[in-house]
Amino acid sequence: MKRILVLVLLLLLMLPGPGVLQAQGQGEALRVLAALEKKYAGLKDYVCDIQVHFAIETFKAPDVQARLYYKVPDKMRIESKRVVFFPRNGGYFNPAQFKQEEYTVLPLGYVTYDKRKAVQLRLIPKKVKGAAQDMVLTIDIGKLLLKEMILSQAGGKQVKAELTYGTFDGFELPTFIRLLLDLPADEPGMAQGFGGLPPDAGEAKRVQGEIAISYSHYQVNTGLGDELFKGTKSPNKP
Amino acid sequence: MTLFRLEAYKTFSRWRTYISFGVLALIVLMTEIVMRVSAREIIGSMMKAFQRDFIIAGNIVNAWFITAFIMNSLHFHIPFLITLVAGDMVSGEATAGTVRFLLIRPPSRQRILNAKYLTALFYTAGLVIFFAVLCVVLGLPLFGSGDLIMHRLGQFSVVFIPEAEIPFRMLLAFAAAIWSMTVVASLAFLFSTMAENSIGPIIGTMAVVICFLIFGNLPLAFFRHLKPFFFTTHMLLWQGFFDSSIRWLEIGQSALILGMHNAGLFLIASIVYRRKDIKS
Repeated sequence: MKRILVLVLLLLLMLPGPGVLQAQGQGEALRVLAALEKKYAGLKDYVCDIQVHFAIETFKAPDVQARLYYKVPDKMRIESKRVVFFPRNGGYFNPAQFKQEEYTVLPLGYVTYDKRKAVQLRLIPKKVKGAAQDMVLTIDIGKLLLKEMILSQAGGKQVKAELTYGTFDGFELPTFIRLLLDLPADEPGMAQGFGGLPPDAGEAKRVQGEIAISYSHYQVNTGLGDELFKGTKSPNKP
Repeated sequence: MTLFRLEAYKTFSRWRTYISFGVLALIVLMTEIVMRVSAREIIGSMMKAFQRDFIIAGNIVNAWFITAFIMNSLHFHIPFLITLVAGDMVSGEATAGTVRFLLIRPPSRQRILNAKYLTALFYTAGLVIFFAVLCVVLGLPLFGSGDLIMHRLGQFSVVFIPEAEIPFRMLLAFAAAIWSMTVVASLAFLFSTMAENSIGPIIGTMAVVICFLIFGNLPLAFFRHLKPFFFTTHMLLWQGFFDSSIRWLEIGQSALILGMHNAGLFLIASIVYRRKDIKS
């Protein structure tokens, strides 16, 4: 009996405690993030054609075509003959935006996404840049692909991005991003004065809708110069 | 028609008639130059909330946007410029001492009044058309063309009007603006029939416009109930042409209410003028 008790005690001591489990999860989360970063380490820039479709009740915009230029770490430019409102967050693929040193990474657990095993990570920025963001990423572990991203911003804004990929010059890049928006309808900081239509009394309290962005004709690592991005601010700096 | 031509000739041969055109030209010119210089700042302040969520590419500050922007101040400065002439249409005769000379001639008082009223409306239309032409003619070379982007103040709401649709909508918007400004002209004209000098009608009209604008914006239940009947509420009917789909019903209702104001004001002016004692 005494032997059994000692054995049980030894087994209990050998079991990892909650702290150890958390540390293991943290390690796994950082490993996945590091692997994702490494996967796209060779991606220096890309150019592609985009088509943006808005399906938001209060945002009556026609479909627009434009050209998107991206260069690491966060340079982005949109060129269009027509006026384009391009989503600042989640609207384009920037693999360099998930640098471990810039976030506190919290593992949320494993999920099944598109019948594949995926890990969910919560990224809390260490420094607040622009609209403070708290991101929840769903990463396909086997393919090392960011499949979903939920961005929570100040003011109760939430944007969910669902990504579909294709392979271009050896890199898996989005062919389609579906953004689901859930934003407050009233914007206290919005323009005042003569420049707009009067507020519509019948508007909803929150705006929900979808922005669908298709990406095509990728050209990867063409050596885009910095001068191309002059006069355009980093997308994270409004 | 001859009377109208004579009244129009009299009005447009006075140099002070052109003060309004000059002032309007100055306002448009200054606004467009300043906006050309500080286009980025304008986008920054007007689209601030959108810029938090969107990267805005393309020519947003174009001639159409500037025209709509300036049009939004229409109900402030144009009424004053209209009263300068409309408020002088009848009272100007008294000031100049030509009332008796005018009224002893064969045409009836009503016909003379009709001609004067038509001239006031003609002047009003001319002023708004001049404003429209100036905005567009100056705006196109300075800012270029493009889609018109309108947003609702304080709300996450944007309306895109494709470039191809804009000239037609602008035409309708300016026609609506003329219609709304005719109420100011009618009001000034009514005051003009009551007064012996032009200062009273000008100040009186502006006082009424300002009072109604204030009443219409006061957050009190009493004024909220009355607001639908204020002409100042309907003076912005032109904005209905810059919504995603033209709000015909609302525009029609506003146009009808403004028309009723015009008819009512002119009717009162007719009664006052026909009963006016010119012998004493």
